[in-house]
Amino acid sequence: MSKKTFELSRGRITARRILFLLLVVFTTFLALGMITSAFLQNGITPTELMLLILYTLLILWVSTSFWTATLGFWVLLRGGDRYSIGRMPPTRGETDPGPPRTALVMPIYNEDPTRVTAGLRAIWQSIQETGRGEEFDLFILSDTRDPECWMQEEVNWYRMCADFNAHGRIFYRNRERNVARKSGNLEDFVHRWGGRYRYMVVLDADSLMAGDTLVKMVDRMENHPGVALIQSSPLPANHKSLFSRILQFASNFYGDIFVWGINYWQLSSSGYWGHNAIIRVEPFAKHCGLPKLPGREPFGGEIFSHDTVEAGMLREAGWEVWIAPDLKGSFEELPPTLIDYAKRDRRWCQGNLQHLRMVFAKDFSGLSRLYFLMGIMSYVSSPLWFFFLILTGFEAYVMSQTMPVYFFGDNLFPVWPESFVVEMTTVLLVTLSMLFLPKFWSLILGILNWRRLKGYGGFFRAALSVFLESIFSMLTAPVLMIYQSKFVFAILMRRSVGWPPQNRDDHRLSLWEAIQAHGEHTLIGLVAGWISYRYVQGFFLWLIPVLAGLVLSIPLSMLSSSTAVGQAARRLGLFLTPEEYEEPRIIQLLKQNLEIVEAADANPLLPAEASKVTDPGACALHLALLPMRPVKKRQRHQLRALIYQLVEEGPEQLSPADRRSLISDPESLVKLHTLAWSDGKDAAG
Amino acid sequence: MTPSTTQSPAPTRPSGAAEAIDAAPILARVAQYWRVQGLSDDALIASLSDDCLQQARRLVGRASAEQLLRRSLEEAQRRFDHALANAMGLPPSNDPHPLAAARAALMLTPGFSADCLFAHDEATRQLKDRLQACLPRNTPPESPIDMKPALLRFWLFQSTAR
Repeated sequence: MSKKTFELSRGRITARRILFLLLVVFTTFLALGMITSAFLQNGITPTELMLLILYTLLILWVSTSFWTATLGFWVLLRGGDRYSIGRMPPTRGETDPGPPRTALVMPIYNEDPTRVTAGLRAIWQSIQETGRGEEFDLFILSDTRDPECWMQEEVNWYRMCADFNAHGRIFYRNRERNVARKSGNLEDFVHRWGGRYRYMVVLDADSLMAGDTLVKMVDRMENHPGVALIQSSPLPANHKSLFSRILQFASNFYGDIFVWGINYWQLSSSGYWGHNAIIRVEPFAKHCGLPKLPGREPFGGEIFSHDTVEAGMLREAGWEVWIAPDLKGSFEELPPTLIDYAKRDRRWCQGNLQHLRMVFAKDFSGLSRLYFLMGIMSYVSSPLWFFFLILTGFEAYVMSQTMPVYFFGDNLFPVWPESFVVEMTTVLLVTLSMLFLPKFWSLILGILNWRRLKGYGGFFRAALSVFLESIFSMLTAPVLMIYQSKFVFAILMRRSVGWPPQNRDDHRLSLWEAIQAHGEHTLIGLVAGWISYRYVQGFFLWLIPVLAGLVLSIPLSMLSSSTAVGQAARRLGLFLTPEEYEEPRIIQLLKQNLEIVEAADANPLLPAEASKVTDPGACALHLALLPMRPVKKRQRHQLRALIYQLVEEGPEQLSPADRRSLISDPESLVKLHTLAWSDGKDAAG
Repeated sequence: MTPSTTQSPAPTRPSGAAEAIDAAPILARVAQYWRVQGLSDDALIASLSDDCLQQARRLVGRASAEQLLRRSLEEAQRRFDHALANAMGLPPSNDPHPLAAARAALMLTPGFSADCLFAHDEATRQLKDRLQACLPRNTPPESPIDMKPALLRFWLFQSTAR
């Protein structure tokens, strides 16, 4: 069957963007017109003016998201987009005559070595199954500082090479200094080995990509020499806790319309999400060297969220950047609890707010500036909503204290105060519709595609899951609003968060953890509830959904962190995803490899709690990989002093940096190993 | 392992405590160490462990059990490395990396037994070729590309440095 292909013209791109912009602006003005007509009756007070400004910003943001989803819905109703990278005809251009070699690169930083290795093994096996495995090499780019984790990564890497007979194809390196975090890690790779590869696929520690998907990405890059980056749309998978399963369902069920919508108006000027994307190495090296921003963190220093900036640099240099909504087989993982989700938000918030400066960069186009603003707005919208709620409450209170005057001037008849209930209710309904309609669009698409809906448990289970997910997101939204508002203010007060590793393991929150994290939310909910109930009862009723989320945050957070509840929901067919209904091969491989890696770690000849320094194999491998560095006399004395300290006070008294120094020196490493055995217990901790 | 390991780094106890040292726990620990290094022949392990203890006794004389054990383990490391270097045809060197790489390959690759290191037969000769193929190669040869930081110019803010 021949497929008709279409060239993408400049006019087409402009027309789509103008349509999108008009829809967003028109919706904003419509909502704004209604609220303004209500305010204008008795002249606008300063509070009302503030409310109008806040509402404009918020409705602009909401309608951007709404129209992206709606356009995506429209595209999917029509069976996809002919102007997507998967359907575009191959373009002519100068191509590198050599065979395309691709490096799969995974930057890691103190991540769980078992999960990292299992994921990489699954990806490697999946590529080999395509029959094109020879085109790919794999790099584990470790920035890990934790000594035990470092040695475990090395052992896992070596076992992977041995098991797959992939010596010289799978590589591992640990940077001595993790300059510029993840972007510096990748830059180091490009700088040292970039010349060997035409493409690199950037993976996160929790990424999982099927071999077929990787091969398709390479083929698309080969067919389009003007494309520098193709971003796949990773879906969350393999989750157990209720929280992550609900998010996994939401991303899976609603994600398509958003991604197709993004493709609709962004086309060849799309973005980069930092992982599960293929990048043409040569333009990346040429244009994406990230500078240090003047000033100190959080706004200056190293660029945290490098991906958006790198995509911008590629676009400004004339390269195409695409998103590929049709590519399946690309997965990632989500934080398992609400608290972990908020912690991740804290890092992302700092990274996005740092882009405030990028908005003022001369070298970026209006579109890039818009992307930066959208990233900023995804966090700044929380404090804006927060202020909006406070001001609305205050305005409601003022209104409740105002006595209507029925007779004034020479009027013989009473002048009844005009009611704007209809306008205000319409504004509220418009806003709520824009927030909830995308969920409805996805349900319609499901009904139209019965086979797809089967993967979500059928119509009734899918509809019930959508309903419950909506309730859950409504309850968690106020908590996240307060978290994100705090983050934004902390960053504006110039408090940097650093770049701590992300927690990806399932763990049920204890009551104490939940109280520590959500105590203040509960308190805010109770106080706000009491004040509104006491002084503005009408407003209290409207505020109940927000208050409920805050007051119930402790039990909600605890309950949703539970894997037992998450699995029970799965057995009931709730929040089911097609990947859970019928496990893809790549996820099967991940599960098999998790068992293999865990079993390989259990050495029957060594105690379970023994550190890697005790293991002669791990020690020998670590020694073999250590670079040759001459050690000055003073350093040698310092290292010996550390060993004495370790022997006398125990390994727990040494900082991770000290322990890293010890195992980074061949002589000290061997001494530690011998001590671990001669001590009869685990000396290296 | 490396020659430098013969220097004991840890604080030592007075040697007067060494008069009635029970050799059994030391031999057991050294034997366990041989097993973890990949040896499985019990007779060979017993013989090697005994040799290591004797050599340690010769080196430290009247010492504590802890010192004796440490010396025995160091002797086990030395003997293992010596046998491995012979099998691999590695010349004596101050660079610990080649030997460490061979040791890692021997201990971490499934299917290898270290017994043959001490057998001095055909299996020892075959080991070299098999180990060569499994030596850890953690990075490929470098093929550098220049990646200079881009210059970013800002309105209202200071530009980035080249």
